[in-house]
Amino acid sequence: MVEFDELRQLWQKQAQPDSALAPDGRAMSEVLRRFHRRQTVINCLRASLLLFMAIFVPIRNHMGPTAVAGVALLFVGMTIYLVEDWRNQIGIARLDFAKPSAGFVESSLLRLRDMRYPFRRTFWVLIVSMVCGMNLITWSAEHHSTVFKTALMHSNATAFPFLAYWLGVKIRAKRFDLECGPILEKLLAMRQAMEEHTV
Amino acid sequence: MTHAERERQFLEVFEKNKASIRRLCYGYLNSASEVDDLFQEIMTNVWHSLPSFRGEARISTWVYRIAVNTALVYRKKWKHGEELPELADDRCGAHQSLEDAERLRMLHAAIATLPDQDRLIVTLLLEGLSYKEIAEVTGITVNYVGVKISRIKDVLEQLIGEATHGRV
Repeated sequence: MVEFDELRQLWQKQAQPDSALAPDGRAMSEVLRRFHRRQTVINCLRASLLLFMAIFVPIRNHMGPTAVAGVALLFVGMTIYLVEDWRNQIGIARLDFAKPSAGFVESSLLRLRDMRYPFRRTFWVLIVSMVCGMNLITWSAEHHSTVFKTALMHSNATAFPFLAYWLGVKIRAKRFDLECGPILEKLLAMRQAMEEHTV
Repeated sequence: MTHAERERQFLEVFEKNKASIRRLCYGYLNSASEVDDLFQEIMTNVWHSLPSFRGEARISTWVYRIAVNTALVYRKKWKHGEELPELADDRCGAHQSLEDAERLRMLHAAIATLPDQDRLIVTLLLEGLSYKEIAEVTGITVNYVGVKISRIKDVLEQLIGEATHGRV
């Protein structure tokens, strides 16, 4: 007959083998702070580069007001992209592990869905700003073009953001399935198992 | 929360809970080589979650929640169907008997046969958490915790009993 109380005592007395990475709280907290600082620096650099390009390109190319308006709209679109991407980085690293498991499973499934389709909420703002921006720049660059050539250039300027978005979604979905597919499966199975017995 | 406060709280939580969390990692993974990985992931998540801790639960319950959830989504390096890695023999301290060492080994082997969530629940029970505390960690009802533990104990009893008779 197995005495569970005896097993409990045995369990709590067990020694742990020496680890090559002996748990050191101070070293761990330093690593975590450094990582967070590095991510913040990278994201700030990206934002600074974007701002620099938005200011430098019009000045360097002596762009007229129409083209500058186009660049400004592109800047809005890229800023939306950067902000969503930044939130995404924080999001996956910060699944709400402190919730009871049942709530954790639910919120993680939602968060992972957001990761797979990160621009669901901002899609139209992003696309419209990019399309309008590219078309304004195209319009300002036209010099005595034929109607056909003008139509072709504007079609390209309109189609390009949609194409870029579609391609980006495809690549992201592939990467997501590879990296998060197993976790997603596990979470779905756990949700099903817990469904009837949660508080 | 300032950096200094966060670090101070993290170190306090780390020192108080590292032994029990490492035992939980052993119980869940049954592989000495991956315990460090899982332990680091758990402590990383504790670090990230500290600013949002508002004292709505006891700190130990809060840490166990993070540990359990991290373990549940942890991607093990070995796949289903592979042979389980050999257990380390030095799980008992030098002052404990060979019999205790053997019983502990059988306990670990029995726990390793359980599904993921059951492994974690039985490890929490072995750590001394009550049914109510386990329910707070997992978010399932106290009654269902009782039902699960009853089934888990039956399975463990059967497996350890078979292992014991096999050696006699």
